[in-house]
Amino acid sequence: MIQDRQRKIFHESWYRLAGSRIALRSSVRIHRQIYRGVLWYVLYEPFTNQYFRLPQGAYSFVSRLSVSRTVGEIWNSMLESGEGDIPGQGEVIEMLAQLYQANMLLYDGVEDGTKLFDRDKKKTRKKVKSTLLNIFFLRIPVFDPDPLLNRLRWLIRILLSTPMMLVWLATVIVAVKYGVENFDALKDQSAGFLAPSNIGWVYVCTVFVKLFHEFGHASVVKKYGGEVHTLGVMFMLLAPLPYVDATASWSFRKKRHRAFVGAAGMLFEFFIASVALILWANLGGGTARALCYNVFIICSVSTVLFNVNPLMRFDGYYILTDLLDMPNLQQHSVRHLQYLLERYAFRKRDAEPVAFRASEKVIYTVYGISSAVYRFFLFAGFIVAISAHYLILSFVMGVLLCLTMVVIPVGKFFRYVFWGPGLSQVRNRAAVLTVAFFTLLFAALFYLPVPDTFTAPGVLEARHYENTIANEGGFATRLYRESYSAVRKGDTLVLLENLEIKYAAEAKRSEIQEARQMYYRALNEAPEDMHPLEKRLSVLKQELEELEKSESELALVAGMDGIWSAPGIEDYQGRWVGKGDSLGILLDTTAFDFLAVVNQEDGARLFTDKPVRASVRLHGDVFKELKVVSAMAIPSAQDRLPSNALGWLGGGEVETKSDGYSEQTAEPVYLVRAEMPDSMDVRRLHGRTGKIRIQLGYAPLAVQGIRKVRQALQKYYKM
Amino acid sequence: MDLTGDYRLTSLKRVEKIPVGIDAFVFRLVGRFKSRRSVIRRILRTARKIDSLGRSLSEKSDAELKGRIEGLAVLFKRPVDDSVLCEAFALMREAAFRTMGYRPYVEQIAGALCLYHGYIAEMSTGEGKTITAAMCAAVRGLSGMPCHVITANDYLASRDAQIMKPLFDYCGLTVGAVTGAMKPEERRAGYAAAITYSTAKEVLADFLRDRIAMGKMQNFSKRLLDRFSLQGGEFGRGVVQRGLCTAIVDEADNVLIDEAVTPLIISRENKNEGFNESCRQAYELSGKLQEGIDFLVDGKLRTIHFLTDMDEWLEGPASSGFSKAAFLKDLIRQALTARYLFVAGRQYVVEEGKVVIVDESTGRKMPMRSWNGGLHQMIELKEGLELSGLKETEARMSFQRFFRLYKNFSGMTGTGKEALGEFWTIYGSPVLCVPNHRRCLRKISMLRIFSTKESKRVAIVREVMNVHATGRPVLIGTKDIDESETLAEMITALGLECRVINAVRSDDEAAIIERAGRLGAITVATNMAGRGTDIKIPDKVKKLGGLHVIATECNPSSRIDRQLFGRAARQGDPGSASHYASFEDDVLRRNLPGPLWTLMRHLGRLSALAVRWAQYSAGRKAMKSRLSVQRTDTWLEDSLGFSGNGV
Repeated sequence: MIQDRQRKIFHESWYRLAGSRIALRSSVRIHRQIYRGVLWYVLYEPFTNQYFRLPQGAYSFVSRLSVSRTVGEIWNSMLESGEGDIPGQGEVIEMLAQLYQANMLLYDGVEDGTKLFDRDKKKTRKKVKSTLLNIFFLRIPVFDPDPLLNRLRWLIRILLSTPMMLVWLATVIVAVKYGVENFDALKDQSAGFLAPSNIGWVYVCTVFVKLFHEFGHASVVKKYGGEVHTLGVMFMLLAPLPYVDATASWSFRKKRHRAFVGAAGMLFEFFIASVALILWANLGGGTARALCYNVFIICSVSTVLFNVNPLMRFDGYYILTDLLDMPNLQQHSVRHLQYLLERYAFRKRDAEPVAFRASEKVIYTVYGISSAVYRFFLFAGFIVAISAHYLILSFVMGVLLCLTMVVIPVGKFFRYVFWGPGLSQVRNRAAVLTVAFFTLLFAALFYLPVPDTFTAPGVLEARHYENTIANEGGFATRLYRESYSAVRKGDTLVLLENLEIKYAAEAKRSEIQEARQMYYRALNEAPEDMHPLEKRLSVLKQELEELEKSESELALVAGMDGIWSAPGIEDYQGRWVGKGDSLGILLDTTAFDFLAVVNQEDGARLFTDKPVRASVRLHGDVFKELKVVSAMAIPSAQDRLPSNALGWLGGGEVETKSDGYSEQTAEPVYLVRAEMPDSMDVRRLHGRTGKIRIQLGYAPLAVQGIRKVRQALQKYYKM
Repeated sequence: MDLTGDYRLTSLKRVEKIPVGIDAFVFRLVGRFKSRRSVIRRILRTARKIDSLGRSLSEKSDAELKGRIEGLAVLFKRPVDDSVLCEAFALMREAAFRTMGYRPYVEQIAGALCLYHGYIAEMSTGEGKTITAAMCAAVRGLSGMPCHVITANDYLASRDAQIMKPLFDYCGLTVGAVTGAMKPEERRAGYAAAITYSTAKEVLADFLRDRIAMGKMQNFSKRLLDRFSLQGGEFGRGVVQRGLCTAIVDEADNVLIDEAVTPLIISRENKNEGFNESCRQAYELSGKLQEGIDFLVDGKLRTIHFLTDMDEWLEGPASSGFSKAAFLKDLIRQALTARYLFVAGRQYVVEEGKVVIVDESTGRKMPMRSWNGGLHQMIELKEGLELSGLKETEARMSFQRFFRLYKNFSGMTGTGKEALGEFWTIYGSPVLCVPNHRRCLRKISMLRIFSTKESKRVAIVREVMNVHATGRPVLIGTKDIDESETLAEMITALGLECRVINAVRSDDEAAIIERAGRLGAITVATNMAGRGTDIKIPDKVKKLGGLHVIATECNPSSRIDRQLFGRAARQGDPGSASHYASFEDDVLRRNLPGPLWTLMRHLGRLSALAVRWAQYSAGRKAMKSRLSVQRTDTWLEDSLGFSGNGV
């Protein structure tokens, strides 16, 4: 299909403008900018801080506006001279109307005062509306920092100087070094980061960091001659944080200046983060260290999740748009997607394209889809994350999210499809397609059965195993086998030496010798003594036998075929091994079981619905799906975990409480024993954790979802 | 001109924005409430009171009555209370009796009261709307502020002014009429009168011309300064009107709804050779394009879609000026529109080497009008005529917007209930149904629907013969010129005499219409022909059963059907009407989705539903387009506030 856009020469309302004498206000500044090789003109009105971007053709008209000639005269003369890309009358009207709305026009005539007020009212209302729609990023301007920044010019000059840049570089390099060195420590401390006791400090640090960040933006704007007139509070995901309005950078001619403004916040933040990291690494402990840690984490997290990420409309986005030369990337992406829909799904012939080059099309498409998906998941993830700690808040935010990201856009979409004037030509098609799409979607959600699965954490266990226990204490003199070596039944694993037993046996033997000699003597001299001596001899022999048995038990022998798992056994060389001490486990590697911990909600279903199939993925080998031969739930609730690795204290996901010695699950759990296949192409280690995925028949997605929600309600609200 | 008059000249009612969304819904409910039954009952009660009050006046002498009317004129300078109003209407009624020879009925008084209070009064055809309007106008006229009575056409304007002159004279009021052919001085005189009869077109055109004449002086403060400055006093020469105060619109649905969005344009023609040359070039180029390969004709939306990439195709022939590629493409689109979507005799006729636009819904010629954007030139090229110049709009306004500027606004119509919502939302006037004075004896037969036009025509002609055989006069209403000619031919072919009124033959319209009620007369007329003129029927015909009206085609709105039926059985006369439609009619073809159209065709009796459906959907479409015009108007108003050229 071919593009068929209508462009009209004449406009019926032209007469209203033709006789007017209009010019740009003298305060309007014009900046020439080149975006992707195309020349644009940016009009900037400093009084109202408004921008307006014009393509060359339109600008050549606007540049001719003057109070000495009427609009009609200008248009006619342009038409006659045939120079430039002259806009149609309708386009001129639209353009001038927009300039008028942006208060950039100077005109000869009496303005209807009521209209001015109407316009103001409308603008305010629009602002309120967009604020409410953008509730997760609510912005409230507070004060004008420009005078303050002017006074701080000296500081800005120092901060943005070359020596300072070197300092910055040095600091960051040092910080990176410390960061790499202390990576594990950094990681370990992160567990307590979001703990309620720390959250207040986190917020304080965030404000501190963000103030620097915003100061970074503002100072670069000032450096290149822009003005910063708004410093305010932004309720980012409901948390109040500072922000500045750095839109003045839009008029900068060089794109690297614009990009620098965008990046400055992060650069300042990096510096703070580096200093914090260095301090953290060198401080002994206490509040100061914890604060440094907070600052560092905030900088890195906010940078990765928000600032540098171009999918959200923060610094990364603006830097990207500057570098790509695509201002309004986000809006254009949305419009481009709309265009694709109109053009290829609804087959609207005069759909207005946004992108003309192949590269633009790709960028808009990719950006539009990925930013929407990313944003949705970011918010959803955020809500899920805080729901663990602040349930009511997450519920409120969930409702808001649903409103702003689902209900309103879908509502708008429906209005656009069914009533919007843009689709009047292809309304039937659009309506039918939309209805069909949503019907199919709902049908699929409610009627298409999909595997009904759940996952549960668990641990791999050899089906048969025995502990290698020293039955007798002794010094390990000789290690016959290394850890993880295959052993056969009867192999000696460790030889212990116990001198006490040895000497006792020796003594016993001597005693026996003595008793035997005495027995022979009695045979000659006192036959009446023979009987008790015989008794004594047998007792002594029995005692010796016991000692010899103990002696023989000093050699640890494998009780069955398998693998001897005894990590760190080398260290036992020459060391004392107590009686009853365990020296590793002997595992029968022919058969493994997976022991999974299932919560009550899913466990209950395990007994009603038979598992159709189950598979296991082990941590570290997530791409290898291991089919399970059979899975059996053990029909009694437990509060002990098969492995401590599954509980919270062991870094697992099952909620546990510690009762001093061992862990106890917070809620009763069920165990599922799944028989693993005989051969697996992963390392089968006893105690290796993983996840089991159990499928219980088929059910439509919506039914599954509703069940989950109801279970959650039941759990948290007792409904 | 005195200062007050000068001030009034440009003091207009502030046009309120039309509510949208939920506001619109609530607003409509308010409208329904304001149109409720009890309102008209209360007005009828007042009318009866006026009636009894009027009887007591019958003994008074003329001089005394005139004196009292004069006294009232002073009171009417400011807002009056009910008793004064009652007295005024009672006096008017008596005056009407003394001058016109008959006493207006209670219903007519009620109608006049409705008009006074700013309602749209629905009164059946033949209920004496002229006198109703006149009574209200007279009362309004007492205040000395301009009062415009808007009639359906020029003929009615001058006739009504003529007929009602005695009444106004009796009340000491001047009356004037403004019609199309008048010169500015005559117009000024017409508007100077206390009560002015005219048509919507003339009033709006004069209003716009006045605005152009005023130029920058549209602002009262500016005029004031100008008046007292040294070189002042120049202003006001070309201005003919005295400002907009009261409007009483007859046939309100036609003026305010059907034609409301067609803007009236005051334009100046100036020869633009460059443009004409580009038009010729575009027209020539358009001949090289092939339907189905290069472009598609969309008959439903009446547009052309290009299938080839025109921008590329035009790279060769394009040059500067209007022949720039972007503009040329638009012109070629117009050329194709002219070639494929405009048909002589339907959308336009050629007269004396000129293209004359024909209003499709009424079949009436509209000389002086022209299409814009080059379409007119293209049609001239198509017909091989000399190219007219480029029309440059100087002022432009839709009737809809114009009538919203009146401070006191009211209207009368035969069929208003259907458009209740629109009258209220756009004009802020609730619609009230004034009951008939005499019972209506009209018999309307069931709608008969045919699958083809031809079979429908045969059936119509048969019915004409049958009715004609009884001696009853027959009036056949058609939608367009072609249809009226075809039917007339078919009837004449049977050896019957018939008269035709349409855009091509409209010379003695009124005369033909007046004679249409005679014994055995057969008249074929396009829908709106002779609107407002009564078809009087002699007693002989009354005995036979009165006039028989045949509506040959279904109209986009059932209101228009009803108006046509209203031609029969007026003022308690007997009469009948029958209604025909075919699936080949434009309304059905254009407003029914394709599959439905095929389906309905085979539904037998039920296929009459198709007409309802089509009319409903046409109505909605039309309303939407009216609302969108309103929205564009508002947008322009908001956005071009600086041009100082808006009204």
